[in-house]
Amino acid sequence: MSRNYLNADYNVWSWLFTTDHKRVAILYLLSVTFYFFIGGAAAVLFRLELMTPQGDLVLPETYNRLFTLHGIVMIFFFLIPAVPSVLGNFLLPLMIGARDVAFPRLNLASWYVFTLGGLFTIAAILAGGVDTGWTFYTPYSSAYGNSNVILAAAGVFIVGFSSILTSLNFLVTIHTMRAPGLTWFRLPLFVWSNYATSIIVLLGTPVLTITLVLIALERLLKFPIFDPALGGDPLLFQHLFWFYSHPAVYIMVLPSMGVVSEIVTCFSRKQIFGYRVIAFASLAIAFLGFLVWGHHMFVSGQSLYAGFVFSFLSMLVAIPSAVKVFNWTATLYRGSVEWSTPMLYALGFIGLFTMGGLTGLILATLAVDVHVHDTYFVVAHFHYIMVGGAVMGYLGGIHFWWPKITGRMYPTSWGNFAAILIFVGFNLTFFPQFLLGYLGMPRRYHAYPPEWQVLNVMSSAGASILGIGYLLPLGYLLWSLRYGAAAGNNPWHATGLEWTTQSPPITHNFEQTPIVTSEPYDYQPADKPAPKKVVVELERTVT
Amino acid sequence: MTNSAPTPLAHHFDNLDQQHRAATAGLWAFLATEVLLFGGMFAGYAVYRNWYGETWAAASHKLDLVMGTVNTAVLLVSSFTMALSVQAAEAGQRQKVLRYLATTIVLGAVFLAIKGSEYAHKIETKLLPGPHFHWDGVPADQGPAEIFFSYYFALTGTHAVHMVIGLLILIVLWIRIWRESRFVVNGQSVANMGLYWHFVDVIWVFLFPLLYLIDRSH
Amino acid sequence: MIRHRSSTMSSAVVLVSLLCLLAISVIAAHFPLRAWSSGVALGIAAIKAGLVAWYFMHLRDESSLIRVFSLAGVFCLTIMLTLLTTDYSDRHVQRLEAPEHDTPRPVGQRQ
Repeated sequence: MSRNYLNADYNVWSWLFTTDHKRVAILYLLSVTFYFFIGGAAAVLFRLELMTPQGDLVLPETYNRLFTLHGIVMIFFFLIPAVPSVLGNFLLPLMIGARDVAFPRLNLASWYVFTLGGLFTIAAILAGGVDTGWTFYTPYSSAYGNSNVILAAAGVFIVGFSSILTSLNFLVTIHTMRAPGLTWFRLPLFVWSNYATSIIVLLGTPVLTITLVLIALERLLKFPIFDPALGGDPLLFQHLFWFYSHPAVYIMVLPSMGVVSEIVTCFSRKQIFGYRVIAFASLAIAFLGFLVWGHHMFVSGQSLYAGFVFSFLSMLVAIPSAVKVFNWTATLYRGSVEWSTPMLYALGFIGLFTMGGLTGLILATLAVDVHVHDTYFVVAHFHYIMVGGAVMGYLGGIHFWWPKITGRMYPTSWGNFAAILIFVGFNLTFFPQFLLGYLGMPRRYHAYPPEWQVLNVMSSAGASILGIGYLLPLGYLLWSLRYGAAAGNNPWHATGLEWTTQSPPITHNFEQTPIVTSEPYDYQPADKPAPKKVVVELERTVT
Repeated sequence: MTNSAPTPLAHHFDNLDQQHRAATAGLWAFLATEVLLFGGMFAGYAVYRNWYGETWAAASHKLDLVMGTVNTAVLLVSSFTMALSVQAAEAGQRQKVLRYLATTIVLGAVFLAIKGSEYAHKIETKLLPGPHFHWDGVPADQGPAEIFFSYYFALTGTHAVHMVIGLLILIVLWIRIWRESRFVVNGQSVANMGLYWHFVDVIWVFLFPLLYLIDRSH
Repeated sequence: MIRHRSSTMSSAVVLVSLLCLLAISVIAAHFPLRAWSSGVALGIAAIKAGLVAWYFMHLRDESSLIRVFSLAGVFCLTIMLTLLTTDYSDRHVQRLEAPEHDTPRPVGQRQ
């Protein structure tokens, strides 16, 4: 194989001290995969517990620790970093024709900070876990909870800095390091969505950081900041927490939306419909995302007027989200759609995200929320967004750019099979939860009345299918590293600067700084797609 | 007698101008996150001050206005010397950079020393929130007063942590410039440091009236 | 290296203005301004912050991008405070009647 970023150097230190954005992305890929399966293991355990109405597998205390572990690990150590830190780190400089991100050493530092935060979280798990839920609500977290709140909060506190560092890098890189000719409206939509995400991370994360500090001050030094017994306001904690944690949902899903934009246009062989509108919709989601946090507090005791305002504002987020869905659909219309593995994930995203978004509107409706608040309806809703949306987008992106990242092709039949299995398993897991929630089953309980068993068994059965679906890519992607066919520079015949360089790319990405002269997504509807070999040879002559 | 070597260009930038723009943009973006870090506490401050205005005014009067005012002045002067360091670094005047940075370091240390003595006094007079907190005013105000001092310590403490970090970086920067045998003054690092230092000053400019100046008219 | 417009003299003028504003805000706090007092104090603080940002932090020499960055945090904070008022303007605190330090406090009971 020719010289590239993977074989540039082999020893361990060349990885641990790398400042190459592509290697940092690989480090993140290994880390988030590890945390994904940790969080998944917790889910397997509590889905097993919920097979029967009685609490017979684990103690109630253990159950609380399991769902807390699942939430903290999945949200802070998988969903938030997944697309930006893995795919974004790898692709962003390639897509804008740069040699690296603006601050390569900070980029590496972000991975170390991430790892340090992970160590704290793992320590909290090994010390017996934490039972506050990932939301750390006061006064339970600050006074009554007797689990490892401080260790877990420290982990989340630290990992926040790693996402800040990554986003800072992205923001500055996009602003200052675009290749000549690459104007803002020639940027790939993946870059736009990561740009919007970075803004949310930079402006939201520090609020969570300081809120966790206040929790620590209250728990360790007995500062009565949120203590109702001394005149403090526990709702203030919820306000501050959700000021970050609601926009965090958009941190998780916006980058995946960017991935879907890339995939849908590529495998429709058609220029994306409404490029500018999609770009601005990303920014609109980032902005509106900051205005809606109070919908998590409709039944908390916040004022009725706040509920009214937040209910109305929450509805507004549906507009840019729906704009994106309609634009993707319009892109598919009359396109030469190819059923490749990434495309299956992208189509899965569109369907599941739409379900998640529409049920979000139901929840944003003040009066309806009072009925389904804190039930499985909410659980199902946000899993449709986070798993059906964010994770599908992440896996679609991994399958789309795997040939670029590794230079190898995975067996596509296995890829298609896994994508369909995940889609089926996902719906079987979470659709019954909508029904359970509507029937009134509250979340976070280890036991339930027997009449809900059928739906719970369906959900657990779906979870096992989903689990197998997630293990499959781990298997065949690792297999492809050794046995996969060489992918060539541009196996999908995609546009975008990342496909013009070799696979895997050389350490400094491009032999020469590319000059951009054309509009993005210059796809031609191909009635007869050119045979792969010819295209690869043509590209060799170009590069 | 001025002489400045060019700032080294990192491999991934095309030119120094690009590198400079990236560094400046990165620093300002970082400062925007810092606004929200303190902002989370300002929000809580606003809520409780609104609820417990009178108690908070009484609690605010327990703070030492003279020490607070002196400390504000110290920090403002340190910002001035920091600005002079940046100006000297841009002109490549190594000796001046060293002199002004040293003054800034000393002023920063003075600030922390005064802050420390204020803390010690508060702890002595049982105004540190927690099990030993004691409020000698109206007993019903004990809780709200304790919340005031919680915010006092949280806000000034977070600010002090920023000061300590700033001082450490300043000291490292000073040593690096001092040990360079040639007249290499990395203008970018001094300028970045300046932005951070001024920002920490700006935060204090808001903390001072919020904590020390709540209605002193009676 | 980009040079900024600044001289020792101009910086000194800024410093003197800052110190004057400090004096004014301390004196103003002793006048019975009632509802206006925090507005005056914060207004003076904002002017001081503006002077530091505009001259010492060279905002006057920076591109509009940097100026936008410098306001982004403040803008976001304004959103937070504004939306918080939708809740707190209609939620009223009940003052505690009894001294609380004699009753057992939940804080610190268990770890």
